[in-house]
Amino acid sequence: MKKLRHVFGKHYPILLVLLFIFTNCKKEIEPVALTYEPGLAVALAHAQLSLADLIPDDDPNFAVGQDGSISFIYREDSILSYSVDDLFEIPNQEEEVFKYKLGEIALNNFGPITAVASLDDLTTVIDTADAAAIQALDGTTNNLPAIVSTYEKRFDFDDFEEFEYVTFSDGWLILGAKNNIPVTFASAPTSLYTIDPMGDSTLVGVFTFTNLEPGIVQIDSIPLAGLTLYNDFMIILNSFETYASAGPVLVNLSDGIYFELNSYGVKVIAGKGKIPAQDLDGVVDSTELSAEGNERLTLVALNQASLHYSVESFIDLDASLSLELPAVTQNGVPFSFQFDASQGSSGSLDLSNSIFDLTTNPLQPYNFLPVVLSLQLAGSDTWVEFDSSLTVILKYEIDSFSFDLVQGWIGVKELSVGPDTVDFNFSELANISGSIYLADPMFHLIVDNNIGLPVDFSVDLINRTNEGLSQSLLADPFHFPYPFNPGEEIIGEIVTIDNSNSQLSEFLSVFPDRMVMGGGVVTNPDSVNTGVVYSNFVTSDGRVNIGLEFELPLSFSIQNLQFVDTVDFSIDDNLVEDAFGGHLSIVAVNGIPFETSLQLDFVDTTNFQVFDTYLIDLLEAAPVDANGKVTSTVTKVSKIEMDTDRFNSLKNANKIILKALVNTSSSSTGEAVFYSDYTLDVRVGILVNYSYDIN
Amino acid sequence: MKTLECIKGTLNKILLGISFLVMFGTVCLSQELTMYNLHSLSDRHLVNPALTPDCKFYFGFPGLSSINLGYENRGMKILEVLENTDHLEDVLSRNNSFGFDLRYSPISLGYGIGKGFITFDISNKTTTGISLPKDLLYFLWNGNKDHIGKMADFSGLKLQASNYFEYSFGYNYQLMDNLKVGAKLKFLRGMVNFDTQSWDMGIYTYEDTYIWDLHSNIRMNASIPLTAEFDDQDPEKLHDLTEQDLSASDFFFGNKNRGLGFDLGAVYNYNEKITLSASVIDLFSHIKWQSNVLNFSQDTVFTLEGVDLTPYIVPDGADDPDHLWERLIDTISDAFAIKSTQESYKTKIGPRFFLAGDYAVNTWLDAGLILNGKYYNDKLYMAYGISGNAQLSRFVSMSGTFTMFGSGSANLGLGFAFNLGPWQLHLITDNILGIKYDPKLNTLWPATSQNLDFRFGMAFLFGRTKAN
Repeated sequence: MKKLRHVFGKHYPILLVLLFIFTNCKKEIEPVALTYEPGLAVALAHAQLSLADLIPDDDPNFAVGQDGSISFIYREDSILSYSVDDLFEIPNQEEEVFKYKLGEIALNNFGPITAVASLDDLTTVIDTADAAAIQALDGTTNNLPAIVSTYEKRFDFDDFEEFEYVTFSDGWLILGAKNNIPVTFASAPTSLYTIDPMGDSTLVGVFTFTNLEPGIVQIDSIPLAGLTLYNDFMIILNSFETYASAGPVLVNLSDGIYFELNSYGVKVIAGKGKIPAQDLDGVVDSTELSAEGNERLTLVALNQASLHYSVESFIDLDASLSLELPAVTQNGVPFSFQFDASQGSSGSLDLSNSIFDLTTNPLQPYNFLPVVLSLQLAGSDTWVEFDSSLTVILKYEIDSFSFDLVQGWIGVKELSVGPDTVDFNFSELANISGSIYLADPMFHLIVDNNIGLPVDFSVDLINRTNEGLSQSLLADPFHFPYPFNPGEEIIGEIVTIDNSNSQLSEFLSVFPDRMVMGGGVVTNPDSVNTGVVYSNFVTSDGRVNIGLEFELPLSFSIQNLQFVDTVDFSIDDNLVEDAFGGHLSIVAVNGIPFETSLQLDFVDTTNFQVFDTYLIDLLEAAPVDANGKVTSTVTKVSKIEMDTDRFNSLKNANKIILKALVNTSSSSTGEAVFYSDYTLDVRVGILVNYSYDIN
Repeated sequence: MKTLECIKGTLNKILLGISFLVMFGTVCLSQELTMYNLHSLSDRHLVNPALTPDCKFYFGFPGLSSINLGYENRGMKILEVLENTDHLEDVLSRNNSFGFDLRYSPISLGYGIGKGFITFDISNKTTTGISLPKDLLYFLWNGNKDHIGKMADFSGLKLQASNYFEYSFGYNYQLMDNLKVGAKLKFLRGMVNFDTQSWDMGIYTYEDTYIWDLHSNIRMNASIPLTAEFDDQDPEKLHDLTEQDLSASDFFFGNKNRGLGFDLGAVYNYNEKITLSASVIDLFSHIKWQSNVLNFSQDTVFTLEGVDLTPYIVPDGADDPDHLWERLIDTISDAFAIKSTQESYKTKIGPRFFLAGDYAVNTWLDAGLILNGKYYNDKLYMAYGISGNAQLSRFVSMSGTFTMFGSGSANLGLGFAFNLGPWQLHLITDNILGIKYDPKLNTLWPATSQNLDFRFGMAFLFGRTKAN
């Protein structure tokens, strides 16, 4: 105490009092139980969309009209395409056989050949006395008495080389007689014989010469047709009678009647002789350019074709056979060709760039192809045996057709397509139910056609669902536009399928599990009424291409369109260790006439147990006016409550079954029209209340 | 050389440590009311330059002349807040400030010449203060769940922190028999500073969407011993801060962050019983920061709408959804990009004043009234004290102060000065009951106290009057 007093002085009790106060003051605090429970509300995500935003500038599948309305356009450049080869072709022609019979041929006129009946020879068949008297006058000028003979006297003609024997089909045999005896023959009947190599003679004809005055030539003729003659002739003077001379005449026994045999216009049909060079008459024949069906062709312009021929000759003559196709021009020149018919021949002819006019027969102004054959004989210097029945045979066939143009009437052809069934194994479609009714859909068939052929195209499409629902397109047949004249073509002409000619809206309202597709094509469908009109044409580059363009104005109504999907789900156990609560807040300012609700079922698919269900009215449809246009936006706030207990209940869930139900605005009974300026503003925020015990 | 390098490294670490302290500490503008009346204390001239120690000569114990540590908060009481986290709106003030103050004087000396007395001190002062808006504290604790559809206003946040050396030369003089006046001239050299010029910030949370409308208009100056590197493309974009290689001379005298300040004081003996005194500390004190200066500014209005999924939905939009959040963060980062310049600026040190009246009850005991005011953040904070001061013996003197603050709270302060020959030890606190023990946390902390102040120091005093 003394020390205390020494240090702190006599007032040290003050210190003691202060010390007492200090030590007895409360210096401890009651522990505070702290729980940190912040709540944070923050925007997570947002998206502001206008329908225009969803349409890429270069997206060919959407179009925005001047009024802002949106159409879905789908373009497939070719859904059906066929070329002229698929439709028509000129087949290889069957072999044509033409027999050219030799027939009658011209022969060089034979003759003149002569035979002389001298006075000396004549005296041999008269009375011997008379004969002696006359012989006595030989070389004198005296009155020559009348001479009469009743006996036959033979005189032979000179041989000639034109033939050995022939049977004539035409011509004349002319026998002339010239009297060089200075008395008139009152009559001189004469018979002409041909003598075969065996020496047998055959009467050719009888000629009667009367009043054959001295120095005068009398001619007589007989037709040769049907006669067979040899090159050895004789005449027999059957009898004769002369007048006596009116005065003295120089009598010469060597004078006589000179017979001369000639021919004219000789044509033969058989025999053996020398054949002069000659062109035999052409034979006109015809054939048809056949097509595959009942096509009636009037003109064919070939780009390419080949004529394969063979010539077989049975005539032992040098000859050539000419083929002329008068209805065919090649490079502007009528088509013709000469074949060697002597030994027979074969080869191919090029018919490229030829034009077939198949209308030359007024009775059949189509497919008709006239053919003219003619034979040219080269002639022979030696005897050649021949017969008119001998033939030259021409065989040909035309193939490898490639045409530039075919005109005429292709015929009525019916081609069927399908039916084929396409199964849509789209899981997305399987998860969609409900219906969409498009108000004014349009399919455009875009036709490119340079084939001048009217065609009807019928489409038969049926959408079928597994539930037995089916809907047919029921479209009327479509007339494809086609050009009327060669060189013209149809480009991009549109054939429209819409509700006026089909049940397109109904057809599109069914989400099919499969589609049955069929149809058919009929060419010249109007021929039943109009008859055959030769106005079709096809060209080598003929092609029909059908493109498809959907133009679906986004004007439709949706009723209970439901999408169902299942997605995997798992939740991290650590996520729900600490207590929390809160909600997701979805604010949708909807300017689109859709209303959408979501249902999320958290399930265990193994035990078929549903742990929780979230029902979210996500979008409220924007109201529309009578024209289906949105009049204002609608704001919908959806809160998805979350807390620890709810999350814990989801721990055993392994899937989320997501069901989205979509309807168009219920404020209108009609269709909603979609415009590019429709907007949807969706914002997602989260409010999390977290609780953490700091103690 | 290794030693020098070691010193440099140590200095740098000290500076960065101070920077850290400045950043995360809080200002204390210690009241020093108890100190004011502890008559035998050699350092009383720190609060009134007219107050001289009772000796002819003194010098502080080298390195331990005095250490002053203080804490203060205004507008809220921590324990009260913790006990009422469900009703923070009731216990938080519109602005809630925290302060931390560290004053360390390694060198202090004084010498009496005739009627005068001169003093010289070298001090390092760290003053940090942050004023947090009510909504910000509410937001930090509760999030924005209660601010949906309302603005959470973070405006008014202030951060002011400095570390500087103070070289003060004081002189007081017995002007008349009953009047002594004193003054100090202070040369200031700033080391680190952060100073918020303006802070206008808020978050409005929209209902249902929870979109945040953020606005931020901030201007802030700083001087930190780091070398700033700016972006080549954007001269106002700070690219990097690198450590400076400072020598000891650079550390103490190398920068141009200079300032001046004044202390004025007077003591008037009205009669033998009554003594009146007044002082103004840090009058016109300021530092012009010219070295290592960075001026930060930001003026942003930003709407946080979450990840914009639009580009990922619309055709031809973004095609890389893997970086949604990165892009959002980049967007935010760009929006809140801070512009940086390097222009000098000036900070003021808030002046304080003391008015005191002392009545000598007897030769060893007197009682006093003391009024203290200080400016902080352009506000005047007042404290009123009643003190009892006793010279218990030649060896021991003490002072007890009961302080009432303008906010209504009260502290009990106590200070002792022990004199063992020339050696003097002082221990002073303005709030002896301010520290509470939390058995659960097993730690001491201010709890409901809004003011804590501890001072410790040693000095050698020579020529003390015998009567004392």
